[in-house]
Amino acid sequence: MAYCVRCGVELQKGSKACPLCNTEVILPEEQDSSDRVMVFSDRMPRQVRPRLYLAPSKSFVFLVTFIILLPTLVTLFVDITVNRKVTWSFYPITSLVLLWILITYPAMLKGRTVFQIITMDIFSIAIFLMSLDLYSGNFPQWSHYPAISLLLVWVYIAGPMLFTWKRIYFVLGSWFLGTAGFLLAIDLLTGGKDWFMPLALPILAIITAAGIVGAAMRGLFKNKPLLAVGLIMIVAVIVFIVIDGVVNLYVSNLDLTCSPILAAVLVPTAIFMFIVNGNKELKTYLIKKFHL
Amino acid sequence: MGKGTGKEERQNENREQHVWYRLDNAALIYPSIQSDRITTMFRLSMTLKEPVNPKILQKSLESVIDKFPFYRVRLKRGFFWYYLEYNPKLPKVERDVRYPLGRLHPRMGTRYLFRVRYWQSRIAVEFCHVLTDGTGGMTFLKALVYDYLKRLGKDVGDPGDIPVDLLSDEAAEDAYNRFYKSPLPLPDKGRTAYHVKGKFLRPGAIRITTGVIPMESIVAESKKRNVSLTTLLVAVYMDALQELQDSHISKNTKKRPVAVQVPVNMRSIYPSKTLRNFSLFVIPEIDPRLGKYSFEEILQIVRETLITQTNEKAISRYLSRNVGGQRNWLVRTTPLFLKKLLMPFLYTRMGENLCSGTLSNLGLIRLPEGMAKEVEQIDFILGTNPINKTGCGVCGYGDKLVINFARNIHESEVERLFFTRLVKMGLHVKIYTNYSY
Repeated sequence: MAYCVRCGVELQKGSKACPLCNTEVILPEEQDSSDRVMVFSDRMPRQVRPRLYLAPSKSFVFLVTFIILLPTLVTLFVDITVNRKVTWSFYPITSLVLLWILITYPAMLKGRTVFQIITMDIFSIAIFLMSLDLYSGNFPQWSHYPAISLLLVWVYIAGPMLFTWKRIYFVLGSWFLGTAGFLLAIDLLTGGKDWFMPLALPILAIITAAGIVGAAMRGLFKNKPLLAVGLIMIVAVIVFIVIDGVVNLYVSNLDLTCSPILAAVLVPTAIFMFIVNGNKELKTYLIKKFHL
Repeated sequence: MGKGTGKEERQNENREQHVWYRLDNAALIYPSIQSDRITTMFRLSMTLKEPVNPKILQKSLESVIDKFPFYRVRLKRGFFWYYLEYNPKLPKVERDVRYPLGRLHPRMGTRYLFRVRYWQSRIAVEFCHVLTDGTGGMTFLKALVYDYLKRLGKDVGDPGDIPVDLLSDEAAEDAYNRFYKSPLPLPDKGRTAYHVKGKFLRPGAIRITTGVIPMESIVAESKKRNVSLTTLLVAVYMDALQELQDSHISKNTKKRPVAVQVPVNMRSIYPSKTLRNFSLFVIPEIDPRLGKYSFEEILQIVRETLITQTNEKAISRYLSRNVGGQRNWLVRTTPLFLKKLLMPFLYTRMGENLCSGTLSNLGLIRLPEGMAKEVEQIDFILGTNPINKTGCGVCGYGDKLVINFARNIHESEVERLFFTRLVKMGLHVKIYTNYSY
């Protein structure tokens, strides 16, 4: 039977220190760990990550269907009564149908995933916009721009969801291809191959390359943050020099304007980071002098 | 009811899906404030004399849960309020863990608002406060252990007040609303009290310090001072908090009131048999700006407050304020997502800010004679929250008074000051914890 000499309370068998005041127990024969009394299980509680159920219940779908059906029918009947055919009511009705799809789609699909829901929602909005364009005549007049933008949004979301962050190079590759395709499409739609090859593609390529370098050295951030920050600065300088060169070449001739100024700041800073990273004494000195 | 196959569960769901309950007045706030740090849970456990058989315990749970239909529920979200609906799945017993009282995620999936855990010879139930208070929880635990012991073939005798049949609707009533009186003068707003400071443990971790004291000696101590046991413990708690504040704030003018929230079982004031929430609080308070209080002075203040505040007239003001707020048309017609934004503010402003800690005494638990032979100890543990980092649950059974402190910070100063005070009174305190192995 052990007591805390400071608090005076009796302690559980095998305690090394008083849980109240942390005073050491001076009863060596009772400190045998095999003799300890465990009052609680040693099992750690499971960390539960809550799953969010997006799917509404069937009753909710019925309710929403009914609520949306009423204004749809009223709109339709008013339009038909006055104009004898569907005219302006096409717009509110298609909007209400879109709303219905967005709200109730998760409930319709068995074993749905967030990816499926997002895909359905994005494509529904694209089809809705295109149907409006189609109805107003001269298709395609404007709707292909928001439609391909939505497609790009889908690519950005789908990449990480399909490949997961473990295959980050596949994600970056899909983003590169998606963005390049989007820019090429915009270039073609706005009157021919003007700026995609000389301007957009090189800039996109260098940004993707920087992303790949960043992904490759992501482990460095935890272990050697100074080295990682220095490398980021060097990569940033290269990216800016390429962008600067490409833009100037496109506008007039190969000439660098602002990127050398940036390089003059970042390159020496990066070199300083590399030196500090390699020099333990200097690192300690800096921490000592500037700690907050 | 047999083990739930998918088909059976669907049939049950069809049959019982019309069963639903409104949240009672006290429960309204909890779903909106739940987080990994505010788990809104409490735990009751019985330590038996023999190791627990989990298979038999599971059978008992499946049988007992249907006698408490208002606990066989899951939390759902309505447009204006949360509500509880029949849960077709069967609850499962699980092995106990090092850190009890972890958060349940009642809004996600089909989870129950309580869990049953076993370890060695202990059976524990952890309830979310949305479902019930300590009295309801204890009734459920008694019924579960009674059924378990009976299945084991023990001679448990007559159940006494333990429910063994399906409970009536009266047990599921919202007693706050039943005893509500038209608006009464509002109670005092109160002031922000002193709060213990400390370094938080990681979310989900909790440190339990249990002190076991011989019942006879502590009852004798309170009789000597001519106060009730609760009064004595609350006074010791306040004295400990006063010393803690004095230790790191020297200027009297900068000190905050030391106040302890003491839950009052409203069933002893109003004639209700509800097994859902029916408790309110009394908050004895001292103001250290006026100088240091001696223990005798604190004891007197606590005694006076508990006597004058726990009568029907005084407590009905709190009841009127709480239920009045719930019945207000503006409040009722505000959508839930807006209410959810306001609830954390109300919880802080009208609840946790006003006190420095909570001490809940379930009193002396009595079990039928046959059952009492099989039960060694009963524990009651309160959950913690980030404002008041400690909570103290007290319950007496047999010849032991068990005081459980739970905290979410590393520092154990409150417990140390509390228990050393009891030791200085000449009481024998045995301490054990879930963290100092």
